[in-house]
Amino acid sequence: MRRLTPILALSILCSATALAQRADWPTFHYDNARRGNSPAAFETCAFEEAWRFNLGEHTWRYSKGTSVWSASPVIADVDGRTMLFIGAYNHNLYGLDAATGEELWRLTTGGRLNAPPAFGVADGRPMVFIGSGDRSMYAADAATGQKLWQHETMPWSYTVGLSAPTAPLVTQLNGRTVVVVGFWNSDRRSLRTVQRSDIIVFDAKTGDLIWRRKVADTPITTPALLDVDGMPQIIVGAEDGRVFGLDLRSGDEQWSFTSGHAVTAAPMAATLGEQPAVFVGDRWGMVTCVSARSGAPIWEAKTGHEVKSTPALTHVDGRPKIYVGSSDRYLYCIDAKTSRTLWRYQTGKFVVSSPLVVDVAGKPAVIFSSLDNRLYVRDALSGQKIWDFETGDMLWPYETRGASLWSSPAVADVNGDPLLFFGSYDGNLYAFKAVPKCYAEETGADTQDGSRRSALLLYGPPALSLGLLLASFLILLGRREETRPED
Amino acid sequence: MELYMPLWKIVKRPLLPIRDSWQDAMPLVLLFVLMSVAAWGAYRLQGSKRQWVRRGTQVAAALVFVVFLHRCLCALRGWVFGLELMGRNNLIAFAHMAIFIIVMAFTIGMGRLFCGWLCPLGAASEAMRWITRWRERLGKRRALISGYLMLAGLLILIAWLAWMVAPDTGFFAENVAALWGVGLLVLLFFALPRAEDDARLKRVKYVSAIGWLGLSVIGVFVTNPWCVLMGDELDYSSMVSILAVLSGGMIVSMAWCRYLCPLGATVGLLALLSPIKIRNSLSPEQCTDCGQCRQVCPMNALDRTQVDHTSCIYCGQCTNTCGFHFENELARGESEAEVGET
Ligand code: SF4
Ligand code: SF4
Repeated sequence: MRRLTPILALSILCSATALAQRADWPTFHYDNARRGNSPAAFETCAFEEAWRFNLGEHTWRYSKGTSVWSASPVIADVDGRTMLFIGAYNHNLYGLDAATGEELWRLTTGGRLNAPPAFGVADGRPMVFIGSGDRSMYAADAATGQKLWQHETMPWSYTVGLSAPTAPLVTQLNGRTVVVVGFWNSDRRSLRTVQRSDIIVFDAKTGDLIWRRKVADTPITTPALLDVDGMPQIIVGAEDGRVFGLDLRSGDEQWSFTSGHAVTAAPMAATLGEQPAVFVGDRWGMVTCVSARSGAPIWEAKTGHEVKSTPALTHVDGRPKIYVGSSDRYLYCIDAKTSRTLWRYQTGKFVVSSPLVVDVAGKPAVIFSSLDNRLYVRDALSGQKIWDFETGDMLWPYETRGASLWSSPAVADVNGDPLLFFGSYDGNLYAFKAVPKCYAEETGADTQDGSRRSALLLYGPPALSLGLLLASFLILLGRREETRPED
Repeated sequence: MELYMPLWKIVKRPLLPIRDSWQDAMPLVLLFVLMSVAAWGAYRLQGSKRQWVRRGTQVAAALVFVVFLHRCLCALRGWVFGLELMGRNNLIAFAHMAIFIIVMAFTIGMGRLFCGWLCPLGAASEAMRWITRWRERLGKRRALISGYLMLAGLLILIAWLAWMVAPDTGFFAENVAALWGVGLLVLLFFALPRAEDDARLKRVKYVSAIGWLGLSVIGVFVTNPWCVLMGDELDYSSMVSILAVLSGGMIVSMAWCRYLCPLGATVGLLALLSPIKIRNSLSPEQCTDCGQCRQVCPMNALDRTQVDHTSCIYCGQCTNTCGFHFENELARGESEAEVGET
């Protein structure tokens, strides 16, 4: 059965540049280079909830690594209908109608689905790929959810741990559609423990293994794809602090860069001018720009705390800028050429999701979420407020830093109009549409955090405490009694 | 509230990586070397020489762990992570366990050597002693008034800071260290006027350690005041708590180490096993209760000829006063055996 529209047939052969013009969101952080910059454009700067899909009732326990939704949903057109694909901790991959939030199908796997899926078309068939905590890679028919193939990356034993797959990327290799994915597997069997991360390349249509290579002992990040002087390179970071480039055709390592600290966020890749570069953040809060030719660092910028966010790249005013969140509660806008921080915006808690850039009311805007339960839309030039949305609290009572995975927002055109999607840890997947009024008109001035606190509370206690301290020192300085009273 | 990451980590990347990784071996090697130097200094050296070497290791440890290296020395929570990761991520598990094992092994050998000779927080607390000493020279009433005023000022400041940095969600989980800091200052209100009750108050440290360990084991992310100094955890909560810890040292000498430090409490208990301890060679009748030893001991571990071994940090300052010296029970056993043979 042929489900292909001519447009889809064309898109199989699309080059990377042509892909960049599509306003769907087929993979984590928009494209294979993970740039998070969608051509979708919201016409006005106010948003309204279009629908929400709830999964909250299924959350019945917390365990480390819980993420109510996968790191990010994926959105693509399937047979003329825009669909959204999202994996969940309850082992299900869902196919939803992106316009209404209606569940069209679900595919149950054997493990948690913490990593985002990827959409691709192989031999005319629209497919969704996802790695599951059960050590297996799954491919499903995007229209029906029917499982097409499954590949186990490590055999089961009594001592295997939950594996940590990365988001896949779908690309072309020697005329074939292939899926590239990273899997971290572990086995606790005594004396011969296994801890390995592999990059695995599958034939998308059949699930046949093309190559597989062990790249690290620690978990690895979602891979990015970049064309470096004609060679397609897979760029991956690892928790052991390395970032490296592999030749997509052979799996051979081309370069490697060692950061001082664990790298847990997917790197973003781009060619700026003549320079193929990788932008990556590490646990110490350093955002580094690395040459994708040699692995030599080009610049570094320091944020205040751990970076678990994949940077988004855009050109504003003709200059490349990256947007990245940090656990120091700020979203940073950094000049991608000079590493200068142009502005930063403070939220109430860690910004561990990956921001995205889209046009809102004719101007570029950056959309990101923070663990303070908010989704932020900010002007990409100045950081000024455009819109906020407050989600509910986390479904589980506490979090262990670094143990949970957090979702990032996504934007895609649905039936011609852009929608903003966000899977929150409150158990809901939200979809927002633009409505014809602006937030600023509605509420007047921007109220930033902090200004809510009154001056009395801000200056009173420190003034009082300084007074008391001063008094105590004055007493200390007074006349001394050189003899101890006990003597 | 705007707080910035301090600039004290001047070396941007680790010096000696294991397998090209962030889990640098350097801190583990240096920790071992510094602990060995400390053990040698405490046991072999005497008088001012010992104090000079002690200052040296304290400064070296502060430089190494605060300025040059990026490795959290979290011996307390580390083993929880280490056990969890063993067989899953041996590299990181190794780093966590190595720190725990080094500190604990030396503790079983020589008590709270880590506290008196290495811990940057202990060194900083000790440096605060000039204020408590200053106050000791005043009359009792004035000293108390000055202490209360200072304590009230600090408590208001710390409570205000803790409130200012309270995050919107997960207040408890993220603010554990700050709550501990405020708790310390509240505790000091009781400790300040009742020097006689010190021994009883010191038992609070076990409650603190059990609470801390319990939270770690159930998976709450607890931070320590020293996370700011040694690790790369630059969270507000730890910053507030380190302020509290240091200012607590202005009220009662080494207040945090005495009453609340969970690591101090844990190593304090293990110290009871150690064969090398401070002992007094005087018999209780020979002690004139002059109070000299009590005055020099930063931990108030001495009561006439009795030593509170869970508090003693092996600083050796009391060895300059009558009768106190480090004694090795094993060596004593041997020499007694030798005597028996002859
Ligand atoms: S008691 Fe705690 S803070 Fe004090 S010296 Fe020992 S480990 Fe350091
Ligand atoms: S008992 Fe002696 S060695 Fe121990 S802390 Fe007090 S002064 Fe230092």
